Amino acid sequence: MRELATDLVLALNWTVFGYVVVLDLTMLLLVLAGARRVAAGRRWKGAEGHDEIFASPLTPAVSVLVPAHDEEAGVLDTLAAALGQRYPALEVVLVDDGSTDRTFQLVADRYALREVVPHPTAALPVDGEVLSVHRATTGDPLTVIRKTSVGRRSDAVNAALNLARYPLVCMLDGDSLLESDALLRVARPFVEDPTQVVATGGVIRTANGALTDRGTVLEPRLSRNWLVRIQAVEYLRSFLLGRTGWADANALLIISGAFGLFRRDLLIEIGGLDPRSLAEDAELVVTLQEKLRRERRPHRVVFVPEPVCWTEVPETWQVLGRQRKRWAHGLGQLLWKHRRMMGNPRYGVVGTVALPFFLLFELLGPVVEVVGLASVVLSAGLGLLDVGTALLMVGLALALGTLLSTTTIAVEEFTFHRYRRGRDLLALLAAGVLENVGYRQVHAWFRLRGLAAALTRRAPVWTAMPRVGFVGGTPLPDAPADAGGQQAAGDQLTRVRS
Amino acid sequence: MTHVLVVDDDPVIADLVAFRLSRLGLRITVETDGEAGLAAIRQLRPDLVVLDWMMPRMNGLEVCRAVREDPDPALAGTPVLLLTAKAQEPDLERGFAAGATDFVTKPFSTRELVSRVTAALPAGSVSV
Amino acid sequence: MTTAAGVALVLGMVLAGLVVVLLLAVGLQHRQRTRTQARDARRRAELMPTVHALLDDDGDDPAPGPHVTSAPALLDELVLDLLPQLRGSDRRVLQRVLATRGVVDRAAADLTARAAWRRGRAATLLGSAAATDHTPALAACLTDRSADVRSAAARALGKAGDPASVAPLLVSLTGPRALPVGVVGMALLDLGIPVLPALRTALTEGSPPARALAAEVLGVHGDPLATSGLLALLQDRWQPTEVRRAAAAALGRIGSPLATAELTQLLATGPVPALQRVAAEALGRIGDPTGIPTLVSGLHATDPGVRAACADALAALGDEGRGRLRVLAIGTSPAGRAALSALDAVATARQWRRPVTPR
Repeated sequence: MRELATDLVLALNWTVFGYVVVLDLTMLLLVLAGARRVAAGRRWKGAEGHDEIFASPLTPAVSVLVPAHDEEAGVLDTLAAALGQRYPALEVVLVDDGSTDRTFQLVADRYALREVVPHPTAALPVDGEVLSVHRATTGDPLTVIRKTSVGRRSDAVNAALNLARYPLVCMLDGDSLLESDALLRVARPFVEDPTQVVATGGVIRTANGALTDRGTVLEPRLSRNWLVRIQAVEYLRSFLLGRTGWADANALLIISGAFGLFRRDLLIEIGGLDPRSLAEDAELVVTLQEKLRRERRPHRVVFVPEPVCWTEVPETWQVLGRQRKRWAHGLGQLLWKHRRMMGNPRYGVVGTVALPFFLLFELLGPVVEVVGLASVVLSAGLGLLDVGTALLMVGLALALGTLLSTTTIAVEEFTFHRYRRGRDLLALLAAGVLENVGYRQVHAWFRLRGLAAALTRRAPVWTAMPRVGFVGGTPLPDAPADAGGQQAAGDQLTRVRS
Repeated sequence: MTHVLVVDDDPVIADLVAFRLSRLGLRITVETDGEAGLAAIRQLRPDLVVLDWMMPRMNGLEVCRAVREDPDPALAGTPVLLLTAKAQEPDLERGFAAGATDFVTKPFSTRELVSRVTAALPAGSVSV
Repeated sequence: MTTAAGVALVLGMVLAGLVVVLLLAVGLQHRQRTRTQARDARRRAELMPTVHALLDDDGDDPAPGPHVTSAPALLDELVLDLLPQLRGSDRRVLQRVLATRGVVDRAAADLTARAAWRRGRAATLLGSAAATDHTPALAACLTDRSADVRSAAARALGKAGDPASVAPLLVSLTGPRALPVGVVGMALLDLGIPVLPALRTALTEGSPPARALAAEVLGVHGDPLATSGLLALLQDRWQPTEVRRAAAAALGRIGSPLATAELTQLLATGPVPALQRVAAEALGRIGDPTGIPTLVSGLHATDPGVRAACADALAALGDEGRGRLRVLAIGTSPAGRAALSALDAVATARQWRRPVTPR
């Protein structure tokens, strides 16, 4: 009996170890593949010409949809950044989704809102009641919808979709900061290939700690909070692996909700955002891919490998736990809803590679990791643990994880190098090591709980992240000088000629 | 001496414009964002402002509107030349509605810029 | 077990070694980059007066002096950065600088290089330098094996401005290595008015994508001579929807009342809402009051987009159109709401168009 138990536990230990090695190696390969692509783009960008696209009458107009619930801390910043986008033709549709704070009042004062009769362009079902629609009288192309909240972001977005007028739509979270040419960058694939491109997305990064002003990032800096730093490494990596490699195979699944651009007519065709989903944006992309593949319509989902959007990430374990649980729950829902696509060659690479990958590594990953930890503890308890072997295995797994993080940061430094301060870079490297001890395990626990919630079909709960708003600031004069206009602020830079 | 303020967030363009206008015997001040630009207008009271539309911190239109709404009539009347790549019909409408005196569209020609600046300034302030 | 442990140990050390190498590389790269950036900024600042002096020459055909030909390679970069921002004589001066410094010849040689990024960069550069004598070589790149190079070649042909490139550009829209419509469209727009006759011909003789694109570009230029060709496309029910949609939109932009009858017909019978919407928008742009009755019945369409487009078009049709809207703007029927909303939009626009006046 004891022998059987020994064999079982040992087999379990080896399986888990093998899984971790395979997972990390796969990720490493994907990171390297992504890095190759990004590096090739640095020598010659392939398609220059943002100015041409900006000035071209063929550039399609964009409706930016901003759902906002109790966002008084940052709503004016978000609007200023959206309306100040360097883009030839856009409108912003803000949805005040049952705010109980001064969100609406602030916007009404700033943009001299005037109540108007709405001009619906679609008739998607909306559960909340639309109370009134307003338009700015300051000349800014801003429409504001006031509606009662049903506690779902998707409902607010659908209400906005009903009033959006332009052929492309972009959904923007209230806690995101855009680079001033973000829209131009992610819209470029639509301009160049209007008949095939159906959705595009850009790179998302962590905004915590960055110097910002009225919704634009003046200088990216790393937060002092280690939890945020680890997430910064996570975001860097997920961009390199999850995105660029997948996009090549036209199997891109997740365009982050923080910043993506879609064709409006297709969103209307699929009935808007799924009201039950907790991962609305990933859901949306998969639904689009499913529909278009099934109907054999040509389509491309394009990933723009340039940082365009900065988002605020959780600063505490508690909030992070809620967020990651929700993501895992949403992923579970998504894979269940689209289970027919899984492994189905009819859906191309999405069916045969992308979805199984998500099932195996994203959804089931935490199960294996938690079981693995438990089995190590168990074997120690049973006195089966050979300390030397165990340490070696753990050490190997750690080294592999560290190599993965370090490679990611190396790619960042060799390509974008947005963190200009040396100490930020050191902190990132340290965070890459720390991620593997503690963070990774706790993260697995959060995701396991999300998976459990999905399995028990718990009613989705959409909890908003508490927002602190962004802190403005002037870049320090001692920041390394560069040729660009980054340190545009401050009177000390006034130059006088005569 | 006639004083011109140049506000553009692209330092290469700002420098080029400043250089070209300084050859006309004008005094030039350069600012690289909207907010600093507005502060400079209020403080230095230039005779003309060459203003980029798309800028961080405060865009050209906001600056223009703020100047026109200033309680001091002399300041509110400062001629403003918008230098911008936004030049489709609705953009021109919005620009003039915000109080722009004239437009120079990017890509621009320095000769055209010189002509428009000369035209916007009182006669005799430019030495050619 | 011991061999496994040994292998693991070796592997672990290899991994650790790799991490150390990467760390060192990152550190070195960061230091190097900071230095290079500072140096480049300094050099750029030093070269700026040279560029300013070039643009300051009043003469129409100044030959760049020896200080230009002997300046460091960074000058080329500066000039290439500045080129897209300038036009007229300024642009010609900078283009001549590039030619004198041999940049153009080197790029022309690079068009057949092995590395795709070299070919692409060379094409981009030839476009910026407006080197029209390289049109055939650039046109050959329209069928390059790399998609990025094909697009770069199309853009470059547009910027170089040789009207002869219109034919290869239109051909590049079809075939196994077809170029995206938008890239070709921007190139055609860059070529400007000289290519209008070729585009008019393409309305009848081109492939379906070429017909649609030609229609769109002719519309953007507002070319009245294209009206009859576009009307023929619109009347032909066998044309693909995309071609008819582009033709309708173009007729709206051109604004000739000759198209009113055909557009009202399309609005009334258009098989798909997308075509009806475009027809309504076009009628609004043309502003011919004979379109009013059809637009009014369009207010009762089932597609909300068509209703909104008809209401907006009526609002754009002057007093007569707005009068009809005011009559209809009652109640909560979809048509009534659409009418109310369009009138409201007019009122809001009036509010901000009032110019800000100094107090």
